Amino acid sequence: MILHHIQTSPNRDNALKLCLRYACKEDAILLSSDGVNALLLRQWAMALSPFKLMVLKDDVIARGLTERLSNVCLIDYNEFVAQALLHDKVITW
Amino acid sequence: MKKLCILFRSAPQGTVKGREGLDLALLSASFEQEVSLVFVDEGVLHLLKDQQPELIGGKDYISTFKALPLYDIESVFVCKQSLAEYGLSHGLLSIPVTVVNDEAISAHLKSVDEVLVF
Repeated sequence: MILHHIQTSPNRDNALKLCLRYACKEDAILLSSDGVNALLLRQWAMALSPFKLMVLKDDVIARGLTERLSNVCLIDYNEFVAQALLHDKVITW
Repeated sequence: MKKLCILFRSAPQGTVKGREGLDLALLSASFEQEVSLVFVDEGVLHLLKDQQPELIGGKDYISTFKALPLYDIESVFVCKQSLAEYGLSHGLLSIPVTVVNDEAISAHLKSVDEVLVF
């Protein structure tokens, strides 16, 4: 199982697009900083739905998206470390 | 000894990412790591023949890809879909590569110890 880490907005960089192309269904995807904005766009939210999805809590709260992204699994930095150890490796795209 | 995969997804001449990726690949290989390269999306442009980065003030690291065999870097994979998207045929490439589909790349990313994306 791989933890894919996306830090950029899909409008700025195709990291997410490429990650989705090569990720396996049992992999997890973590969105942080501008990467969280991907969930605001239907097409990316749908593309992400088959995967175990996590979003960095501080980046959501900082952007005032807590309400808008209420149905998403928010994790803090400690959980991020735990997830990184849980998975075989982390790929930062 | 670690199986390290360097994945190139950025265009060669607009950013330094490609050069950094190649430097890391060669350095790791010289430290006896098992290095493999994967070129996807705009990263496939690294493999185009007859590039002249000096023309635009860039350092010519592109020709260094020809030195990969000297560093025992044998597995060089290129995404078939990306080649098609960018309209590049096998013949235009500067070094011998293995053209693979998405599933093969996914399997490779899973099989190695670390993947670093440039």
